[in-house]
Amino acid sequence: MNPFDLPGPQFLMLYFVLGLTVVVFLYYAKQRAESGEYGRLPLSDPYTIAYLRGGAAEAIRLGVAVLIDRLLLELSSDEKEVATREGVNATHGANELERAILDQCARAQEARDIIGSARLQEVARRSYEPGLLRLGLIAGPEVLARRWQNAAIGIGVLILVAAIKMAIGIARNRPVSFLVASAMVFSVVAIIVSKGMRTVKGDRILGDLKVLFEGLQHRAQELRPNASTSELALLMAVFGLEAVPVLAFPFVRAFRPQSTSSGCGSSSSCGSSSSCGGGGGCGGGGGCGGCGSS
Amino acid sequence: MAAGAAGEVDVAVVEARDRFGVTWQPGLAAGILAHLDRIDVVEVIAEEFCGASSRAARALQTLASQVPVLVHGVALGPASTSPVETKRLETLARLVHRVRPAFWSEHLACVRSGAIEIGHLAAAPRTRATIDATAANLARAAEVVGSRPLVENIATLMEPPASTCSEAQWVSGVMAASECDLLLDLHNLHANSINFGIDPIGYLDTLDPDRIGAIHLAGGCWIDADSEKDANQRRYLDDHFHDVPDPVYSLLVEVGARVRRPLTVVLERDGRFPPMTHLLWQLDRARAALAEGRSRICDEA
Repeated sequence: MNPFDLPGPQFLMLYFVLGLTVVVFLYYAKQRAESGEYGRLPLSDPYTIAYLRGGAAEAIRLGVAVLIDRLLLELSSDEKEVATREGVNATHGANELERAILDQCARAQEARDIIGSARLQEVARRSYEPGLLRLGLIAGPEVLARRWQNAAIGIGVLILVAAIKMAIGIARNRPVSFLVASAMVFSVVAIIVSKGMRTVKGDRILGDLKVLFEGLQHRAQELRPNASTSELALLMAVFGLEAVPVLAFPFVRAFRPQSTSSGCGSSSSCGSSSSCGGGGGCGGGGGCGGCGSS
Repeated sequence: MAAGAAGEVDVAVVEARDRFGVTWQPGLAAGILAHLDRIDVVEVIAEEFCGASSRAARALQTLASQVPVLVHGVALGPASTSPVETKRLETLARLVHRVRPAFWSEHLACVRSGAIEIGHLAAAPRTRATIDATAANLARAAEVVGSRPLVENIATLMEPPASTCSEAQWVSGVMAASECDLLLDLHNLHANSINFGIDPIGYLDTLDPDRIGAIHLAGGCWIDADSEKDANQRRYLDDHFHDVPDPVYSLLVEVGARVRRPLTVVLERDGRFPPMTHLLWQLDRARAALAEGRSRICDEA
């Protein structure tokens, strides 16, 4: 039996199955190609984690916040401009990105401009992208090419099948709008499944870090300015600036991604799912607690 | 002279292989991961991950791929004449296979009677019968899990009734009968020595130093008796909420002077967390104490 001779509703059902199959195929092809054993990860480097979570913009945002906490940068009283403190120069930075930020802020800068600075983005990319690519945590050209090749095949099949049936439908004077809509929806889903800065392994690592750091969000309220910068940096790296208590660190307000009413939230770090809120998890550690004779 | 030189080299090698770590606490996660240059191992409580979601278990696996992880059990309760539940052992075995720890450990404690959970780690009567039963439980645990656990001495607030031997003799007896090495909790030893007048040095002398594989350090506090009448019944509680007291470091020096194999030293802290720098300072003190003990071996050599 020729499936193209099926009546509209039945064909739509069949097309729905085909669309799902394509999406599932793309998902599993990605899982299969991009998962695997973790190498030694730079878990203790907050900048690498921030880059993994949200790209160059997140690494810069973290750098600025860390430098303010370390009293190397200062925010103007109206929280609009940021500048290197007197007596501080680029050599005080602990890494290339920090040095570049200090250098850039030698003259006062608009807080939001720093995050989007092309020069700083380039420094961040140069500093963190190669390592993450080597570890297979973000998608390099090869991975992206494979993803888009698979997506093109899948979408091609979907469009070809839809086009044949549409031609038949139009010739028989039948409505094809549902089929067009279905083809578009499945194509968009196929693209969504195929895109993303991180690989499957990168997503998993980030998810694992969020689980491991769940308890840190409670402890976040205990962090004090200039006292525990490394913990603050890891908190920001994993969960974003949103996780930092504003009362203790009021400067973070100036660097939070602008929330827009039109969706995605972060202008520069879409899909980073900053503080996912998920994972009920085990709750408050504590182990044997109580009598404590362990 | 040559022997001395050889002794020094050995001690240096052993010292280089000593490892220092902390108990994993979610609240300390950032502090721990930010200082992996000063933390060699992380100890996780088995039961916190045994029934955990696959997400949490995978996160633990990720942690284990970054830093050596030790699995520490609190709920098997092998120090009992009742056999350890097979289901618990199988769950633990899955965790151990997943995480591949450097070693796993369990307390020499009784934690349930039949189906009734005691709710804490209780000391079993110190008798030949409990030594044999504990050894049998540990042998079965080793069989199911695939490796022998290190066994830990526990702190107790009351001497177990009907005991026929001292704690040190009992622990040594279990080690001999089970072939399990000892995770020596120096704070538990310190607490018991305060509460029951045990000589901690004599206790150490009773143990076979070659069978001590790891050390726990922790802190505790005094708890008052309930009534005026029992005012002299004040007890020192091992609560893991306080800093390691000085006598425990002194005991670590003594251990360092006796044990010639590499040791894993874990600082246990379950609550009232100080800044991470303070915990690291305690780890540094532990390093210095163990090194001081090791230097005594050199002097003797």
